[in-house]
Amino acid sequence: MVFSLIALLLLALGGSMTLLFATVLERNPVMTAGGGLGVAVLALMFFALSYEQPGVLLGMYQLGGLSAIGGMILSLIAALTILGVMANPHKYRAGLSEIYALILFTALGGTLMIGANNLLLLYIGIELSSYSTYILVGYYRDERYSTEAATKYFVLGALASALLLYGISLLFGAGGGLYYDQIAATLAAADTLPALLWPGLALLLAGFGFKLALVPFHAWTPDAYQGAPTMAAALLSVGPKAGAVIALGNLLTQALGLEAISGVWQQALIWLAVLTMTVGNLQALNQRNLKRLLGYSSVAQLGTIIVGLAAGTLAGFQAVILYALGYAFTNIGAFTSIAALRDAGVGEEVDDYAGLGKRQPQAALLFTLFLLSLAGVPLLAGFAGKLFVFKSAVDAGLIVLATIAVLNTVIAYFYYFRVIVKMWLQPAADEAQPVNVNAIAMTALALGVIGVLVIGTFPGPFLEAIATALEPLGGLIIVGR
Amino acid sequence: MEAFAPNVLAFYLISAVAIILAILAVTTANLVRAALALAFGFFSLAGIFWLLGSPFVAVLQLVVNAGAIPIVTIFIVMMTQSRFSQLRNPLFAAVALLVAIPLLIAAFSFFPSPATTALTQTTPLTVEALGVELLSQRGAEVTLSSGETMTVQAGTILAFEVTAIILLVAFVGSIILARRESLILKLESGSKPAAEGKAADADA
Amino acid sequence: MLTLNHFLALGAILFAIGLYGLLSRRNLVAILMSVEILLNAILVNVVAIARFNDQAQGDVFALFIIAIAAAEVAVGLALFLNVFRLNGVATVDPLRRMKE
Repeated sequence: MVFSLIALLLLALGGSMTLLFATVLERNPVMTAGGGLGVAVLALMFFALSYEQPGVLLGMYQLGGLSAIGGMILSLIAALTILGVMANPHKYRAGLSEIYALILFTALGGTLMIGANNLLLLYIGIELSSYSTYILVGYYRDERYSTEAATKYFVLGALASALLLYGISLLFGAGGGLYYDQIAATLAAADTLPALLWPGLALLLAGFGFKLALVPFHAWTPDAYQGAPTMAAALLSVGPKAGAVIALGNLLTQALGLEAISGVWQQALIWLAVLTMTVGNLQALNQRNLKRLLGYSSVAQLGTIIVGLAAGTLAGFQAVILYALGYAFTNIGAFTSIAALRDAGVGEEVDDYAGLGKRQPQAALLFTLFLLSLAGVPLLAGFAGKLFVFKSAVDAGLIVLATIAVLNTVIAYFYYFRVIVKMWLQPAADEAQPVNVNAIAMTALALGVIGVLVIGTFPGPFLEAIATALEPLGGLIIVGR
Repeated sequence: MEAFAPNVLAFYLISAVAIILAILAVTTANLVRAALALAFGFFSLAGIFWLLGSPFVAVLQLVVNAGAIPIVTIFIVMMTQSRFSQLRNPLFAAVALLVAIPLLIAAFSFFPSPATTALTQTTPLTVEALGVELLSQRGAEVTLSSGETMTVQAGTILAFEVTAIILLVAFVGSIILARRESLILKLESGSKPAAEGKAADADA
Repeated sequence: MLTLNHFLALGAILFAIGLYGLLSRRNLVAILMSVEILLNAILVNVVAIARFNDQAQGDVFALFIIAIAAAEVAVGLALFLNVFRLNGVATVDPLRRMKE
């Protein structure tokens, strides 16, 4: 109880204090950045300590186990993002330090939605992380692209929140309460399921679909990624999404795990996953801008994650969380590479990366590893995640879905390898000048690669920890087949 | 008869006003008029909340949704000099209908026996009970000023605290997005504005 | 006699109107007004369900919705001011530059 509380307070008060001290003390970028990073790392440690201490905080927030793991993933994401910002703080006007507070608050929002045991805190967590990311995306207030991206993200985000909230209100009516256990109990006791449940569930999934950028709700993603400051795009691609996907799994299994309902949402998730993977990958094929390409790639990756949820089993949920962890390291690493190379004078178009292997071999090697992990090459985190997700789908009897997912992985190889081939096998367009990458950026990239390699090579301990955390949910998950 | 009871008539009257004003708010080309329609539409919705026996939400609706938000909206209409708004393709009405029809069907098929859920049977919520629900935790036993004990159903103290952070984010975020750039540039380049530097020295 | 259905229907109609406004308006401030209508439709739903089931949870939920909607307006308006400052208009029309 104590450790979780400390971790949550660290994120909440740490963010507020960063804002406060930034206005009172000397505006020293290194100090504020160090403070933000320290808060994120400390929160990570305290969440790790709270792992074996289950409990309920003020009746609304589940402590320990799953929420501790969620908190660890989100704090890790915050720490990696802050490290990426530190590599070139002046680019983010970070002397003013609001960016660190917003990153910490995004992590806090994600943690709260994962641990929420009721719809109210779930909604508030989603809004907290959404508002923080709206502002981060529009952070370059004098750049048209950034403002355009933020406006699109905001309008569709507001629509998504409204749909989600409408779904929540109908679910509240159908389930007779806001708490997951109340909803589960009411629905289990009902002779016939209330009619209000179905539009409620549909709107809920649509709202989550917007937040997770699932096809057909993904229109904002590529624009938001391309226009946003690169590290904001990195955070946006993993932070709120890791939070929302685990929270969705938690909600569906704990509140709506009844067999008659789980069959329906499983079917909906299967279709969403198929559409998302296929459309995301096909649209990524001929992108010229690297951030836009990663935007579509993240759409496809989310589709793959949803396959694990669609399986509806404990193993599937377990694979989802492992995937999210590996994806956090991989995608933030990839975006940090782009940011670092951009700061060193390399453009954001795929063509600008021609011959990079000769100009800056270390950074090119690390970026290649991240791309390989995204593609799902063995011994890297992306492969471990995909393997367990597909395995859970096959075990749940979803052979067709698993086959489509594997075929999609093959399509994805094309665009990831196009970038890699460009970097290593094609000559640079202009005279091949060496590129100098910042030392802090290199450290961030190296940390990311270590994470990718460790998870990819030894997924066992991680899987075991996740399985233990999910055990209390075991009784509540009802598999519909 | 039953069908013409005062609260039924009031409901239909208020609903009709609210719906017409909402339609005006989304179709009027003049945005100041649209904001005005919005304000009065929300004003009438406060009547619905009062009818439902939730006076505190009704008052809050008057103060925030019918008062503050339209005023801020009109400010921004003026600041962005966007008095008039054009419409996009009216085809979008079809999309809205597509969503609305299942919702309406669901609304009317819920609670098949309406006799069990007449509005007159509900008890209005006192502000004290609402405050207790808002600021305590689930399952707590609280003695009200009337001497009754109530068991807290919702207990949203944690959400209440987190909402403070959301408001902080919105507040600071708006400043980040809308602040004038000159000050930031001075700070970025490392040179303090002269006046601020002097003040800092005096403090030291 | 008033039943919950009446109120849910009112909520659904208002939601549809808001959705239409959100999709059909070009001006960003008008879009924000439509979002407000959406949130008020939800308010009607939540309060009605709460009162008919005699659950104070819903009324508390309504308070949170009002507070968070106000925060949403603040963020949105700041963003739209920026759009206006950079483009001279606050509509969705100049927001199509990024598509390659």
